Amino acid sequence: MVTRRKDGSPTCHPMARFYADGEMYLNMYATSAKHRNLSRDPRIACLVTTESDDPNFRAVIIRGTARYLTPEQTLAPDASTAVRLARGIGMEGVTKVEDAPEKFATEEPEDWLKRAAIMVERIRDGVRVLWEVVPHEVAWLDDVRRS
Amino acid sequence: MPREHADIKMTPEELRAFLHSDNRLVVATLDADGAGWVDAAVFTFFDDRVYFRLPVDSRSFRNIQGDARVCCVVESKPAASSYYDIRGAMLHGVAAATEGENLPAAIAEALAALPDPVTPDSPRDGQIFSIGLEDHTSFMFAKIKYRYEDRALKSIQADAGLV
Repeated sequence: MVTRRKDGSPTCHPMARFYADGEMYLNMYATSAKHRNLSRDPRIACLVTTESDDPNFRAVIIRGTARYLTPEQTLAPDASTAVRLARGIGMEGVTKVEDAPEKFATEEPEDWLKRAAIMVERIRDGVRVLWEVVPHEVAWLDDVRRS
Repeated sequence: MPREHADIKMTPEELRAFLHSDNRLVVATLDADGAGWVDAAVFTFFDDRVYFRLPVDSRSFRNIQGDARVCCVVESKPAASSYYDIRGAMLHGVAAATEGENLPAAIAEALAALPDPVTPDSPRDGQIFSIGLEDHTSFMFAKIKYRYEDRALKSIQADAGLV
């Protein structure tokens, strides 16, 4: 995720992105530099890439504007699927391993369940916030790199 | 809740080892109107500087001509990995065009051996830039594993209203 620092220089934060049904959200600390950067200038660019060990690198560039969600919007019962993914780090509704055993292939179950629960706590308390990436340009990087 | 960032920073030795272990980065630049642009490039690490290569007909190259401030990101998150395997570094600086006698032969050779990640079949030429480590941020999530071990799961879930 590319934003601009206070001095105007570019910065790029690796982020987890939560995507469903054409919507994409980012989850971050309210005290973070990236939250401050977006609050100051909501223009955003994201590069969604293949995994770091994938020899066949592909990337999509998304450019647009970031839109802040309040805690109430984030925790709304009728929130979209993408918001639900973002607010629960993909673990919404999972409170024990038996709820979704496939999610724990690479994680220690109890630790991940703790992180998911703490995420809800932090959003409710305004410690962590969601931003939506509202795109006006989406393209494969190799198609637009020389544009 | 305490911030965790201070706990996850790499030591200088860890950072150098990490940068030696990879050869692909993401580079952020600014368009003329100040909007962000982002690209990928090959890199090599030598003598505490990151050397990366960009095609001279790329938007990233044009952006650097207008404003040389960049942010280069190296991140390791393999497909079959845990959250705690994630490592990365963000390097801020002014991209210095490096060529001729200022470009050590070893660096030129190392980069020439690496295909461009975006267009791997393209010629391995282009402009080489370098930035230092003076302004960097690093993270190694393995350093915060078990950070919640002193809180019981059911207690956390109850506090969050999940149970």
